[in-house]
Amino acid sequence: MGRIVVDRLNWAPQGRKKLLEDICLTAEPGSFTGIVGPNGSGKSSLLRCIYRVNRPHSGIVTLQGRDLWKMNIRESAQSIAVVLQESSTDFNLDVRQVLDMGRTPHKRLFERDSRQDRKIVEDVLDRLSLRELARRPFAALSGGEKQRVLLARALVQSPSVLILDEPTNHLDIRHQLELLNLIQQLDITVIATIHDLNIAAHYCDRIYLMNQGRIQAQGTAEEVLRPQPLAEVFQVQTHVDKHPESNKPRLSFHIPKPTTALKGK
Amino acid sequence: MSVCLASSPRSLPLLIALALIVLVISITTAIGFGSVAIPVNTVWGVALNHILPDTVEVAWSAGRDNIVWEIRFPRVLLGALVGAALATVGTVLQAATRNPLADPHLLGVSSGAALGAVVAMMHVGLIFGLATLPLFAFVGALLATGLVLGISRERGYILPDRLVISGVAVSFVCMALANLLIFLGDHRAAHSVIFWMLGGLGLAQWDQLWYPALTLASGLAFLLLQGRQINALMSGEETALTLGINTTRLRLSLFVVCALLTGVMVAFSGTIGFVGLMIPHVLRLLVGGDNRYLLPLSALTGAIFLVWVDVVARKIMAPEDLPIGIVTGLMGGIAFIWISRIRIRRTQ
Repeated sequence: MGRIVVDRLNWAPQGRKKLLEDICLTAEPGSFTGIVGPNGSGKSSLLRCIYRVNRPHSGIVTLQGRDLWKMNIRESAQSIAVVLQESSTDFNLDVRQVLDMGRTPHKRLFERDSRQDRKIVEDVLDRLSLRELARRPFAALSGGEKQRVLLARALVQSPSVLILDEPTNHLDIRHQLELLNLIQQLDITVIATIHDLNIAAHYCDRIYLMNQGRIQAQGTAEEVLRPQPLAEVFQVQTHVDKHPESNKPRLSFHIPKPTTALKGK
Repeated sequence: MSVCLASSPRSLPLLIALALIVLVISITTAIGFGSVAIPVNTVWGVALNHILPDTVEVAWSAGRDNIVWEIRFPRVLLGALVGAALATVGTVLQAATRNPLADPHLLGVSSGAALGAVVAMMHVGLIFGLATLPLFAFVGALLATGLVLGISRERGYILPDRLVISGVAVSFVCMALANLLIFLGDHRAAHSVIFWMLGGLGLAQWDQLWYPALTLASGLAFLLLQGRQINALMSGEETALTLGINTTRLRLSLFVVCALLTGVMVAFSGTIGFVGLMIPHVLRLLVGGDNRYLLPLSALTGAIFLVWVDVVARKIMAPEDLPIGIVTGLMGGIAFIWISRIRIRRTQ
């Protein structure tokens, strides 16, 4: 299992001002780490530094103690798989062919699929109940099915770390929960950006709250998802109680009324 | 939307075998067509006797032997080589640029190659012997590719939609320069150069055929082995990176090989457009988009296709030999309109 450590990381897009400042983050092996924060707070940029699209300007990202950015890209892809939001293919691949792609980092340039590769694909097809969709064109699937296929491809990669960028975007509530239950049952390290704070509270072992490119708060759901830090970051008032069954924090929000806001000051 | 004929690994060898048989039949049948019709069994007999002397009893005249072996065979084989190369290049460019309208002609690669070849023919002379023309065409193709990609890039990403526009623009510039060089050059030579540019297989000769043959064999081998990598690249820049692919290096190597294939084919057959646009499109509907299947089948289908287009070019205004580029241009232009309409309808 993989341990990811981000240490004092800074990053800015080419020729523009810093978007990530002094980020420290640790994802323990087998844990579910959530990154929450408003739009534009740098969540996706941070993930991109971990899955090697954004090269950090300073600071370091390590996998099992090794500098990720000094590894061969194929080597790091053998350990880290990513489920991205993009899912456009005009090119008529079927589900099985999309899954096959997941073996890419484990193959040398001119190597063909082995029996073991095919077995891994078969297993994942069954595990994520995709068998019936195996021959369907990817482009013809619904949003929920597409997301499940992309997760399946990531699992075919046999990673020790799974990174997900807003995995539940555009999914209805049933599909959101199905997908996250699946991910939670996996015995690997998970790092995900999540918009819905109640979902983050329910699934994450550890939550990082980001604001304007910095980590504003970190800890368990109970420690991070409190009214005061959320008011600072999201400008909302939060009411927190406990979920009757899971005992996790349950949040509800409203925008502070101008009069009460004044009174507060 | 699509019928997947070949998406299981087992059916691929079968389809390839089938396409190979069709290709061999097409080649030998196509050789029979011409101002003098020659029966297929004579074509086979001539071919057998030239490969393994005295295997078949000679029942034809020396003149026929000459027509079949010295004139028509190299021509039809060149057609097959060029068709295979252009269709493969089209398939790879469409995947690597993520633009289904990519084609060596539309992306300016062919025009760059033509410009390079014109420089060699009109102004440099054959300084490297027979290799001069393909070499200059390759360099021209490479420069044009680099230019098109440079114009289409923004912040390190290639913008697929800008690609065809810059390709067409670069193509215009290259053709204008080529025309200028022809105009400034020796007017007696100009005539044959213009005819070459229109695209034709009439100049094929046995002793030059091994240039395109070797180029195709090595280029195709390289590309076929990268089907998996090309699939990943087709799925987008970030996806390819997360699958462990050095996208910059892969894309560069693919573009260089495509420029090489296009350049060498243009040097021997002029600019034959749109083969690389049409073949992958039709095949994607039939066998799906997986490049591990698409690439070998594109090569074979492209070869079959161009062999038959050449028959049309020879027959349609017989005994005049219509430049084949005119025929593919007509068909391809219509195909282009059709494909763009489908794309527009889909995005709406």
